[in-house]
This record gives sequence, structure tokens and C-alpha cells, in this order.
Amino acid sequence: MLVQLLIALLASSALMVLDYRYSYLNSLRSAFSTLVSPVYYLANMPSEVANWADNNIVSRGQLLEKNQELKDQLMILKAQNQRLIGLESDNARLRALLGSGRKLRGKRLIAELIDVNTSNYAREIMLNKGSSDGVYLGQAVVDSDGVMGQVVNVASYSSRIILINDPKHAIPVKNNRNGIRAIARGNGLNLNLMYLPVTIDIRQGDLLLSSGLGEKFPEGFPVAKVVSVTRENDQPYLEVIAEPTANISTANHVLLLWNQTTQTQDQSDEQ
Amino acid sequence: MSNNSSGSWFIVLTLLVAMIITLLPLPDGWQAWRPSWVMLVLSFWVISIPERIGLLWAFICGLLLDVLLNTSLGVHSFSLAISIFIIQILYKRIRLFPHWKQALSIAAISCIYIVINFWLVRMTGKSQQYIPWSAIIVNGILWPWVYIILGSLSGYFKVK
Repeated sequence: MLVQLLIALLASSALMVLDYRYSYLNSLRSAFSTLVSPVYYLANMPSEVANWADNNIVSRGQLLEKNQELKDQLMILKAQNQRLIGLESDNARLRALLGSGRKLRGKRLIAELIDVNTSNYAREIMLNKGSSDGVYLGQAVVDSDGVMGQVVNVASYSSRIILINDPKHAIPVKNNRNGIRAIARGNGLNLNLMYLPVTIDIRQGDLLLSSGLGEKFPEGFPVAKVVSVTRENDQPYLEVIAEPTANISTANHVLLLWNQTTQTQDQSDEQ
Repeated sequence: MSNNSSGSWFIVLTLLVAMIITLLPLPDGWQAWRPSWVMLVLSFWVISIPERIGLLWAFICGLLLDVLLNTSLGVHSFSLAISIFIIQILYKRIRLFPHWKQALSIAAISCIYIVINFWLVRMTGKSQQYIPWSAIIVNGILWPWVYIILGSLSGYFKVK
């Protein structure tokens, strides 16, 4: 029995070293993830049922009201969109003049959250799309209001997303007001802007967009809003806290984005 | 031989359910109270049929937990192996204890499990700020229920 224990402990230690130090076991891990992914679906069932009940047990009046509300919203968005079409063609023309061939639209896919793991070890969510839908490692994930995070783990029918406010995640951003670049690092709840000198121009309420540097996240998506700037003259750097604009803790559906290189060949299934 | 090992499906089912409950969403403030379901259910099986359930099961369940919770492979199998080994040594005594004393010893063993887990998780680069001590109390409170309910169910399904 003691021999068994020793074998088990040695095997676990070996696995830990291989997995953590050298990440040799990614294929084994994704195979296991595919095996256990039904567990996520089962664990998510109660909230799924509650959602279903929410959607299906409503009165006619509520539905009419909701319908009207959505129609109004659609009207407003359409009006805004008209302006956007003009701007987009303008932008494309200007970019063509500048000789930079960046496209604004790529392939997108809506995915549903099947598990939230803000619990023990990290800020992470699970999505119901995996490598069978073409999800790849490092893919950017956004919701309707901003950047959510990126894919860190892919199984066949599910994938794991690290959120931008995880302490192990950082994202390159730029200030929308004056274009100042920075790195926003998660602190478990919000984002900290790292290494900004005290003399730099940043204010409460500034919107931070993804800068597209590092080529993980597409350029120009809203990331966070600055909520506090602390200037201390004896410190070399500013202490800036920014709140993610995405509905990190309430989103039910998110959007997976494909980057430009795969976009050209996948253009047919864009819509 | 087939008579000798009946009801494997039930053992697997209980472990699966334990993993599902481990993943059920909880509000952030309650995370520290989340009991170690898989460890409790495994302990029950080790105590009731020690000749069948042992370190191999602990190792495999640990690996599955690692994948589910996205810790480095081997973290949970290490801590589960140690706590299950302690139970394997003590199962004859634990069987004879009254429920409250059983609960105390399981809570003590789960304390070892949780502390080793915390230590390994920190070492493999995840961020966990504090040891969830309250989970130990919950484990102790839950143990008599796990023991009684699984005991009567395994009697009903004739798990040997």
C-alpha cells in the first residue's frame, strides 16, 4: 500500500512538473477536457432551466412591451449604422491611401457561457464552442460592450477563456482621448495600468481601447474605463485603476473573433 | 468474480455527481464554503469497500478534478492520494466511530487535503489568496449525511 502511495505521489509530481514547467501535456489535457466536458453541461443545467423558464413563462403584455422596446432600439441602432457605413467606406479609402490593408470585419461566432469559474484559482469562463468550431488558442473574445478575454484552453466542444481581470492576464491598450499606450493588467476585480509616469495625461473617465499591439486582440475594441488616478509625487509611476466595460460578471453570450489572416479564407461564412 | 464486484456503475455515478456539484456556480463570497465533494465521496467508498477502492481511483479522480478546475495536472491527484492513504490506514477504526467522531476525523483529514491543495496550487502559479478554512467545517457537517445516504443507497443497489 505504501508502494502504491509512493507511485501515485511520484506520478503526480512528475505530471505537475511536466505540465507546469514544460507544458508537454497540453494534448493529454485537451483529450481529458473533451472527456469531462459533459460535466460542465450538467453542472450548468439548473441555470439553463431557470433561463428557459424566464424566457418561456412570460405574459403576452410583457412580450409586447419587450417587442416594442426592441423595435425602438433597432431603429436607433439602424440610424447610427447609416452613419457608420459612410464612416467605414471613408476609413477604407483613407487606409487604402495610406497603404495599410487592415480590414474591419472578420469572421465571428456567438458562443454561450456554460460555466463560470471565478472561484478558486482564477477568473475564467467556459464556452460551448471548441476546436470543432475552429476555436484556437489565444483567440480574442468580446461581448457587446467590450473585450472579455482570450482562449487559453480548447477541447472539442468547449473552450476555456481567461478574463481580462484575471491577475495573470494583461492586455495592451491605448487611451481614446490622446492615444497614450499602456499595459492593463488584471487584479482580480478591475484592471491596473502598469508603468505610467506621473507626468502623463490621463484622467478619470478616459476610455481605453485595445491597441492591437501584440496581435492578440484586434484594434479599437473598448476595454476599460478609468475610475481612479492616484498621483503620489514620491512614486515613479501613477496608480491607475480602470473598470472593464464588458459585462464580465453578467454576460450570457459572447462573441469569438477570428483574426485577419484566417478572415480572408473564411469570408464566405461571415454572416 | 462478477459477483465479487457489483455496482461499479453506482460508484462511478456518485463520483460523477460529486464532480458536478463541485462545479455548480456559487456567489463569490461563498466560494470558501464549497465542500470537497469528491474527497468526501471517495472517503466513503474507501471506508465501506476498501478492497476495491484505493489509490488508483484517487489518482484518476484527482486528474479529472485537475482538468475540471484547470489546475496543473497532478495537483489534486497528489492531495487526494495522501488523504485517501490516511483513510486506508484508519478505515477499520473510523467504521466503528460514532457519527460525530467520524465527522471530526474526516474534517481533520480534509484539512490536510485542503492545505496540501492550497500549497500545490500556489506552487504551480495560480493565484489563491487564502486557505478556505470554512470548507473544513462544512466537510465535517456534511460527512454524517454523506455516510448515511450513500450507505443506505449502496445497500439498496447491493454495491460490494
